Amino acid sequence: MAIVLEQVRKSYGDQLVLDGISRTIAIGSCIALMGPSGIGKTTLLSLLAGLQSPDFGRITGLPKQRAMVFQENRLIEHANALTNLKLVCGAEYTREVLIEELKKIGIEDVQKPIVEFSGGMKRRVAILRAVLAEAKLLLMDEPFLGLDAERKTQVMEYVKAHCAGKTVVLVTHEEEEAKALGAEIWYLK
Amino acid sequence: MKKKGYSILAGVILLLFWQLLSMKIDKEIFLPSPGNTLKALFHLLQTKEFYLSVGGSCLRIMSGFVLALAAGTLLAVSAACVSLLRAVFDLAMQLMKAIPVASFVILVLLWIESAQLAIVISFLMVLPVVYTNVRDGIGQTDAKLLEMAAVFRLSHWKRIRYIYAPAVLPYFVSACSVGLGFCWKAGIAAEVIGLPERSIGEQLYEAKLYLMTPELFAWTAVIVMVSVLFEKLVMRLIRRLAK
Repeated sequence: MAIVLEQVRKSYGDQLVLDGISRTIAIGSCIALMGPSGIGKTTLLSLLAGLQSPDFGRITGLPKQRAMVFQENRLIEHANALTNLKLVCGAEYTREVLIEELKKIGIEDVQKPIVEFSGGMKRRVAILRAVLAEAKLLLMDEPFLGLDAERKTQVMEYVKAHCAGKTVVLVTHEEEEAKALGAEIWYLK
Repeated sequence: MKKKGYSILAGVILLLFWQLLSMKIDKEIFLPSPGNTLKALFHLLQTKEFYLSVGGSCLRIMSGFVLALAAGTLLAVSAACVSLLRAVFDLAMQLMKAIPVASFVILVLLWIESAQLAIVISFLMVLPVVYTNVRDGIGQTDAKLLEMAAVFRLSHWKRIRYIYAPAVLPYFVSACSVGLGFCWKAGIAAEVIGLPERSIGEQLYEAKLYLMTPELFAWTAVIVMVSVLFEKLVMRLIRRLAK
């Protein structure tokens, strides 16, 4: 089983973003999409997330259970970190387990509403939400952007440790991020 | 504090103006003094009829209000789901806003008994306000959060609870505030026409009929106080439920 992209084409108005891309993503693999800005990395991620449909071609083998780290955090700002995680996590993730997971990425204050978190803290919660969600396909759009070097290493290690068995597609501009996650790099041209 | 001080001062100035004007006119039948109005109010407070009338009006007007909240919300949700329904409801609500209350009153009197008129009129006044506000609130829901909900396949309940409700709440609160004012004004006017037993409208009508102007003023003050009281109670209730 694999996720297969066949002649996928996508354009916005007159601007052609993806021009007949054909690729196969093996289940359980980790892919890093790289390339210059505007080349269609985020669009491809959006197609894989099912948020958009290709204008031409097709994508088959997409699992229904998906999770995503968006370019923006897209958290429920008035709710706390625990509530944000509980929204997407299975029953096995009890309050105590989630508190422990939050601590692993440096989030101690679980009662404070997200709106009061710093940008870096919000980013870490957004990553944790996607990693712990019941999903077979994990999509990440520049997930580590805005994290300081120390946190970035910590969070990358956390993501790598928790993504075994999942298919991961990552958009990044940093080759070291792709290497740290053991991802196969696809350069989009 | 300064603002509150100004509000009190403004009240005192208006009371003084009222007192001076009533002294100048010097005819209770046209303009009673604040003192006589207060006296009439105290007299009313000592009668059983007062409480029955206030209770009856509250029941009728608030029934119309609550029904309009439920129906307006339901229609707004339907409109957000189906474009054709939105077009139909938008047009209907625009018409309802434009039609004079008097036209509604006459029409409704043909359909139902006059005792129920206040309920229907309150309902008709509040419905477009609630519909428009809730529809706008739904329209303002963060599309990016809805995309997130789609990717993570959040249940309908979770979407309503965490994404739609916080977006709609400020609009809903505003609709309640405006709607309460509307329904009290229109509801009492409908009672004056329909004259249901045990109602403020009936009391106002009698005060006018027997030229009891201080009572008329006292009842008007009661309407304002009850309306403000309900607005505060409803707002507090909504904010408590939203937590």
